[in-house]
Amino acid sequence: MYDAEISRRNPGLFIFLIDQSRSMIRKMAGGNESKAKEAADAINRQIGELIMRCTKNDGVRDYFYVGVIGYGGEKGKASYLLEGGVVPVSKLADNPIRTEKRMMKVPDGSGGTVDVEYEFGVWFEPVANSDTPMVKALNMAKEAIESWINDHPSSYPPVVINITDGQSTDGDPYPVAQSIMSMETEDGNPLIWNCHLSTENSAPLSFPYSENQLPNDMYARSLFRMSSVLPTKYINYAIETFPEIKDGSRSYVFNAQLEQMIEFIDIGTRGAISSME
Amino acid sequence: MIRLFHYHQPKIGNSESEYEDAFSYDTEKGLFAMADGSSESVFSNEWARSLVETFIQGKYDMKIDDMVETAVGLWRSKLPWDNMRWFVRNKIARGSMSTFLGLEIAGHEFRSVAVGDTCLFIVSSDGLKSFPVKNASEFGNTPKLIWTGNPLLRTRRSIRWANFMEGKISENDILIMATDSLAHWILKNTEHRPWKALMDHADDERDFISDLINSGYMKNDDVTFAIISLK
Repeated sequence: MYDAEISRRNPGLFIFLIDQSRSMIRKMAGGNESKAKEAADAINRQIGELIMRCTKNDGVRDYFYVGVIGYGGEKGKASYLLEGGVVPVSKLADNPIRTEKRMMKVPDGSGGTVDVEYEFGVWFEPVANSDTPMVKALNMAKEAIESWINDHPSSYPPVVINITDGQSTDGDPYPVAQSIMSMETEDGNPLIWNCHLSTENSAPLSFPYSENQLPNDMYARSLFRMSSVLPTKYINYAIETFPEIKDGSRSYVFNAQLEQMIEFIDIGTRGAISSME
Repeated sequence: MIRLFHYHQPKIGNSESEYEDAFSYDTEKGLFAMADGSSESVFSNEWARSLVETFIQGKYDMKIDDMVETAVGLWRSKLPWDNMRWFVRNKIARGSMSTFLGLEIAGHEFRSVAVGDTCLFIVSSDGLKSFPVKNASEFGNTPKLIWTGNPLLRTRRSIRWANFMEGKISENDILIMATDSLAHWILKNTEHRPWKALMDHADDERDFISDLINSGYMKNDDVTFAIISLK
């Protein structure tokens, strides 16, 4: 399970869900920008990273397909933010809406790092506007995954990463999340990763293993239940940074500040990336 | 006189342009070099080729730091800087990586330098010696590699992890250079004298190796080998 080789013939799927509700305008704990901006940056950076991984001398090989679904940009609505819906990485490489010059750290060859300029791709802009129709967004993800599994029955299981700061406003998202997590490819069930963003500097909790670790809050507990139990390979990735992680831990971070969100997305995407041929 | 038989094929399913190993030689000078570019980095086929081409110029006398410095310049000059797409430029900032195996034969003596899991086997009446990997269990997915460094920074670096070996060979000995998948297969099957099968299948090497891969005896990877003798 979770060890299918990802190749051009047997590609992998990532679906990012991003909350575009009004409260995402508030500053992200641990960051300098709004939650909407930091979350959009993190997903755009991850798309850039996937393209980087798939770049060979002759171009970008389609080891991955990506969909980004925003919800709450318009009241009660969810929609794909990338043109074409679920798209292969080669198309993303060809069509960023723009690139920005930024700095990244690269090894200097002597055990340290130095900053070099690079092009940061942008495929969608941050939006913080309305409500939180998470059920609609998950239903769109479910449709995409059903169709994906139909076409790619032996693929690495699709990975859904949901970034939100609030409570669903269109009903209980648990049933649709459960139906996604109970689908399967020959290599396992799709994984749902939920990243709850914090505005205040409240203590983050990454990869909880029991609802009792969470505050007595319906919403926090609902997100816990709609997060996958971490497969062993992901526990192995996370244990260095989160030594308290154990069997039964969920792919969930509560009250994430910027640092936890970035670590969370990194660990959530690493399993599939490490399965590239 | 040095006799050489060499062969390569790309990973099954890949085209020749996707092949990332490299082999170069100069039998007059007794120099042979093989490298296996890492598929995780971009233009690592050019990096592997730059390393082997630089080595067989014969100017470096096993001084691998100097050799690599020259090879980096050659690699950088081969990169298609004009019209480079933004994401390719991003990836180049992380440099290219490759294993390396250099061999020099002078008379009945040889010297070798290696970084990573591209191997040299010495088959003599004493049996088989392997260098630098000694046991089949040492093959993994993270071999030691020579890195170009960041081409935008041009910092000079020293090479860690280099292994050196020297010895004597006679007319009855055989030297084999091989990249990792074949080297692993050789080490797992030494008692069956696998180099003999490679030589026996000189006319249908592709079928022979493809069968080994398709039957699960060998990892599907680029395959490169050279068999060298003094006869």
